[in-house]
Amino acid sequence: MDWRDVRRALSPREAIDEDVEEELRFHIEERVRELVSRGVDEDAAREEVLRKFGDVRTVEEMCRRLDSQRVDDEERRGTMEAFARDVRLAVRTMSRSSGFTATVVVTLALAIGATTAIFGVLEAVALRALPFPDAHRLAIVWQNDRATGTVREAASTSDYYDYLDRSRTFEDLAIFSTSTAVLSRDDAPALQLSAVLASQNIFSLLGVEPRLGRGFTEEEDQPDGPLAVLLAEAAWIDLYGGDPGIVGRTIIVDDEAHEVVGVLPDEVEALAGEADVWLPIQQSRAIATRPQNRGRVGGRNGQGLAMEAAQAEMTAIMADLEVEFADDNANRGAFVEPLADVGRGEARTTLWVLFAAVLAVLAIACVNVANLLLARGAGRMKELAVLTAVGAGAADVRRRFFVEALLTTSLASLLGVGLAVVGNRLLFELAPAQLQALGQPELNLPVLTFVLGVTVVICVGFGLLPSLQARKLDLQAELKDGRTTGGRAAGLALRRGLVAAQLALAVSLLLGATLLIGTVRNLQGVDPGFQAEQVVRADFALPAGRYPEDMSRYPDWPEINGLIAGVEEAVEAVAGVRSASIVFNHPLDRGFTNSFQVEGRPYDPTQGEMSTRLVTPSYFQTVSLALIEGRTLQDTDRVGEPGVLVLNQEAATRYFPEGDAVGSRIGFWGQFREVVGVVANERVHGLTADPPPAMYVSMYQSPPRGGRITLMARTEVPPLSVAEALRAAVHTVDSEVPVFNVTTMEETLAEAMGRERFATMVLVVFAGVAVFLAVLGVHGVLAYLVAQRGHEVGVRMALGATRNDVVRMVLRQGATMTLLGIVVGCLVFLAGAGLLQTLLYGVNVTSPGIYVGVALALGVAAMAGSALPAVRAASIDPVKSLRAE
Amino acid sequence: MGIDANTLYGTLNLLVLRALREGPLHGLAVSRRIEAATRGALRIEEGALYPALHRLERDRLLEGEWGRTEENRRAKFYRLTRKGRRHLERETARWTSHVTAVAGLLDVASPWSEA
Repeated sequence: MDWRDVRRALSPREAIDEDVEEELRFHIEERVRELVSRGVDEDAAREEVLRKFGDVRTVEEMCRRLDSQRVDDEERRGTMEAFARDVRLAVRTMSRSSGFTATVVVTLALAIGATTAIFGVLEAVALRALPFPDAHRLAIVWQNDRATGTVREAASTSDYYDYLDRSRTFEDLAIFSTSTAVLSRDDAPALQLSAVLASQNIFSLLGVEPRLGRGFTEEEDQPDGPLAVLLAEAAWIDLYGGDPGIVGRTIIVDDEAHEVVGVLPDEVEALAGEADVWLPIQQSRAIATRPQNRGRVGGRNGQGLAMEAAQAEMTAIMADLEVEFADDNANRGAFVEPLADVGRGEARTTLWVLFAAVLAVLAIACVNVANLLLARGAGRMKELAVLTAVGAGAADVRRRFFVEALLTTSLASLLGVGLAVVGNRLLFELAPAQLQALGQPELNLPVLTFVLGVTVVICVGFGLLPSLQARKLDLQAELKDGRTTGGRAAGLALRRGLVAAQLALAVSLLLGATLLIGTVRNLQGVDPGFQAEQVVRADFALPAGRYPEDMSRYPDWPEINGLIAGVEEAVEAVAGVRSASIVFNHPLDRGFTNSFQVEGRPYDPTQGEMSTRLVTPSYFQTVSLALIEGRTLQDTDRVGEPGVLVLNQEAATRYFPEGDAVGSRIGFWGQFREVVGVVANERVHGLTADPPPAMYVSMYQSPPRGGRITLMARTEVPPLSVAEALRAAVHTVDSEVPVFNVTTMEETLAEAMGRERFATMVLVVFAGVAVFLAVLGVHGVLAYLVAQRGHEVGVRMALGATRNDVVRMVLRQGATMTLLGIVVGCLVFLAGAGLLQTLLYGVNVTSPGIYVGVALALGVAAMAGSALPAVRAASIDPVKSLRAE
Repeated sequence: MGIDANTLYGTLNLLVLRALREGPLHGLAVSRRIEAATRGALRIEEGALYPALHRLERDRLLEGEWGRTEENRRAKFYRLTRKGRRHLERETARWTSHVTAVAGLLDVASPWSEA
């Protein structure tokens, strides 16, 4: 082998010029020698050879160019081959240590899967844009009531027309409300539908085109206009099999013939949730009234205008209305909420908390894997030293690590995405209904981008880690005996730091989970004011046609009163039912409020409104609501008898601080009624909200208006077992009345704390995983330390250290990391506790007891993790350990 | 079959590959072998041989390696690669059928036909 062959192999590009020149020279010189040997004069011979050869320079140039192309090709192929070789090598390395690889891949896959699943829900509920063009300009204009402190109330139709006339920032405003409707069918029982009543401009305001047909005309939106209905896409498919011929057909809604004018796309659900049908609200300035707040007002803000401008304008308009209509608009203000935020604020907080938690779990899992890699890296130093000794450059070593990291993380990510799909479904099932309504998680572009980003970050991190470690490699020491080198000592410090960080994250999660568990316990301990056990409820609807609401005769509505009494009686006759009652709103349904006047006092617009509960007299018995003073409503309190009502304790103490509530008279709906009793407070605004002042009015004296009413029954048997019997009982009175939403009050109560329970459940799982992984981390580092220091331990013991000293030494190492982790974790948690605050109830973020408890629990767990390596260290036989030298 | 614009190039390439079929040769030897085989009928400028060799090397039909001649002089030897051998067989077959067809057309007795 010539030195030039070596050179050609090492740097082929630099050899090209020389090679070509030498090759051509050989040819020419040989030819010349040939001629000379035949007796030709050398100069003449050279001239002859060159003539026959052609232009040497051109040939040289061509050859050089071809050679350099060849070298390019070879290099390209070389890179590909090197990569393929690296992959093969990595696969071999990984499968040789399949246990290690499986641990790493599974740990990462679980963490990536959980993170992706939570991100998927976060994306669906909090990050995904609404499906309307320029959705950021859409807002709901709520009203708030300064006297009662309620926000997000509906507006009266008169207010709506005043907004339309006075607002300059809103391009357009529409009014809508959710309701129910009964669909009568020839071939099947009547069906209860959810409905949205909306002004006809709602679709142009949202920027939604009907999927079929058209929207409502202005004429159809007039009072007594032609009756028209739009079907939601889902209802169109469910009820009419997606028949395109539906447009123009007539269907019976609320006992009246309506023309189906079109089908709406699913996107409209983003405004007011799922609805089966849309109907024109049929309001006008002429019939608009002020005292009743009937609809939500949606607006499209002007191009380029900030929501703040709209808020300022609406605040000013409401202030004017307060002056102009002091009786009805006292204390009422405006709250402009971007449509994208409506109903999402709380869900967003919950999900950001869970996302922060799952990121912590991901970080802990990554640290565990990093620790595994570092431990193995230390074991691989010899292999690397050999590689380096035979001439592998730093770049080769780095590339090998990167390829291994790439394979591991890609595999983990693929598995993780699979897990996320399952996890998403599971999370969504567990999520409270309010959250489910906000959006369905899917594996879409943002989610996949997120996974890719996470994968790249992890891959780069894990690819770099061993290279950093290998940089400190001391070749000679490694090859000599492979004992402790600088690289290992530095790696150990890094690993201790990582484990402390892991413990810190675990502490934070544990603190969060503890506070949430406390919250749920507190919520479960809250007395809702009624007894939910053994109570079943169901909704049913009154088709308006057969149960006329003739305002001129109100409250003398014998048809409706007859139905209510009949249903109550039929239900009470069902076996297993102890008591039944018909109500307008069940005890956890916030219902509606009314302004009122106490007889003998001047009307005080600042006193606020009272929650008004329409019930049949058996209500108090059915939900076991305690009577505090006087009597409850009675069956004798009927139309024609003196009007009576019952107050809750809050109303009695707030409005009658002298204790003279019973016997006083309260006026509303154009009539004064006597307070006959006071009952305990029901938490009708939710478990964490203070009970509002409330009054209970008999349905027999004030029949319900507007569709849906609720049937409640206390049973002696499992409540849901009577569900079918309830339905049958209602149908004995009127077979056309749909019965729906059958559920127990216990379930309703659980749903009321659904958000907190959901967050708690997920966080407890995360905290458990975090603690487990962190303790595993502590154990891993200490076990490694003991394995590395076996020799040192042997020397110490030979020099007189007792086994106790050794155990203490190892435990001290563990305790240092744990203590550092706990302190940092508590501080991190305190810094981030604000995020969690709105989810908590009745627990104190700064209460030291929780911190002490969590610190103790984690400390014990970490010490347990340290114990095993400590025992192992103590069992080292000094003689053996030294002889192994 | 089809005759393309590179027929001449193709011919030279084919001759080079054929010259190397029996074993590795340096450029000069290839030149001599072609000269002898064609009995001077296809006179090529000797210099043109080298770009052909280098192109075939680039296309991995040949492999070049430095070695020693019988007189112990350093020279670059070319060897057919497996790819080159396959290429030679395929192109020879093509060339043969091409010649047979043209010969038939021109009413010339083909040296390969069973006359």
